[in-house]
Amino acid sequence: MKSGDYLIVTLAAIMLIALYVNMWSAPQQAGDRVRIVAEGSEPIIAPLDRDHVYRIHGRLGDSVIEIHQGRIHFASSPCPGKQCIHAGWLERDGDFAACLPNGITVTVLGRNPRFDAINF
Amino acid sequence: MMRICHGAVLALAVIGLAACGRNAGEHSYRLFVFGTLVDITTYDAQRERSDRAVQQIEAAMQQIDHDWHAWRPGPFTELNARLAAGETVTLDTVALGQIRRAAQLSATSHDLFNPAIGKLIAVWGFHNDDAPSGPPPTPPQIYALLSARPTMKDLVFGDGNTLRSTNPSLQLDFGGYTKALAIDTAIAILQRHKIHNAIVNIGGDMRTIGRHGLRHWRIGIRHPQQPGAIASIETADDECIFTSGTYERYFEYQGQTYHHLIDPRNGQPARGVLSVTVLHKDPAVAETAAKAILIAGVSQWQYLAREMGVKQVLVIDQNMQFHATAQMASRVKFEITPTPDLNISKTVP
Repeated sequence: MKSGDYLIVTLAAIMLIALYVNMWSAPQQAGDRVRIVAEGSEPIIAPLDRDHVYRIHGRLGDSVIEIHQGRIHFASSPCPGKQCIHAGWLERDGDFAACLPNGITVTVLGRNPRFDAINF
Repeated sequence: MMRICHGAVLALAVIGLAACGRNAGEHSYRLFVFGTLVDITTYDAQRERSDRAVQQIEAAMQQIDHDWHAWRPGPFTELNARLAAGETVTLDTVALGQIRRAAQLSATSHDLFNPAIGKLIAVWGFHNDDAPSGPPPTPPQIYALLSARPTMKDLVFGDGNTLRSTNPSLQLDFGGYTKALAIDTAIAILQRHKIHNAIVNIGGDMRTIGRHGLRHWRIGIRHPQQPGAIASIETADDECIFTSGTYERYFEYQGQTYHHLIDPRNGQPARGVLSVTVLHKDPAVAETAAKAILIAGVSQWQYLAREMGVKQVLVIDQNMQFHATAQMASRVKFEITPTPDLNISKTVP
């Protein structure tokens, strides 16, 4: 091989390693994250270790979702049943709460999700 | 120069393969249909192909929801009204086949899966997108509906795709059975798009096909009393996992909890079992067996499982005791500690 060949092969190998790390390694965020999905909107992905209050607009009105000390919950919601609020604080990988009348879901995401889906 | 070209082609191929891998990894979608969440996950399929398939699935599911909705005015409420009026109704072959299938499953469940008791479900307040607030129906109200004994045997399937009812109290309500039909429709659409590794999950009940790359799909089974999973299953290629649970829909009235799984024998919410999980190839069988076995209760669950031909069943009773068939016991992995004792059936093969 000529020197140019070595250069190309070396570049290919570097790119392969970079792509592998980029594609297959664990997410870069520190700690666990949460995914908030409202019908018809792009999902919000947020870290669980940063306190924040989200006001999410749904079918019926605004649901207030609070992240506090590594946990997340529905603080208030315009739905009649309030089952989303009764679900309480979520903190573990895969924990999940939904306000179906308002079309909003909250899922705690781990670094390596243990399950592909939850049956209930 | 040629060799440099070869090197460049190699480098581009590496990038192309890598990019292809990223594009063809896992894609997840969340829809709101049937008053619940629909989650679709594909693996090893091109993003654009997955997107197209899911668009078609969403449209198909909305059509099924419209066509079979138990209480929103539409074709199904119209069908119920005409059957109650004693009319003979002509239906298309597909719809009639689905009603006939429901009747067969109802018969094998000894009418514990009884989709003819729509009026009873309505009087409990569950014909509403939101949980009812009570009060529960009075004993005379329940007795009036039970004494008419509506079952799927009241339906007469006639020549020329016709259907009529011999019982004016019959009101069809397919509930979860409709979702089972929708799951099959969704999987068929995915397969038409050459997507062979996927999960279609409607409100927690699902069919999985293929695998997640080198491993099986891993499904957590929700704990009936707290957040998180109680157990998990690795599903085989093309398998359904359905759970009926008393925690799914319920209301509280004067300190008493009333859930949505109504026992057609007494018109009351079924007692004794918190949840039943069934694995089966056919979502309609899995759905109806889970519901019927929950209603059958702890003393009769094995009999119902045999009658309905389901061999992979997990029952969690109200005392948090676990019962399972031998085949289910060999597959289920508990995610809680200490690992609970499992009462393994000796009578279900």
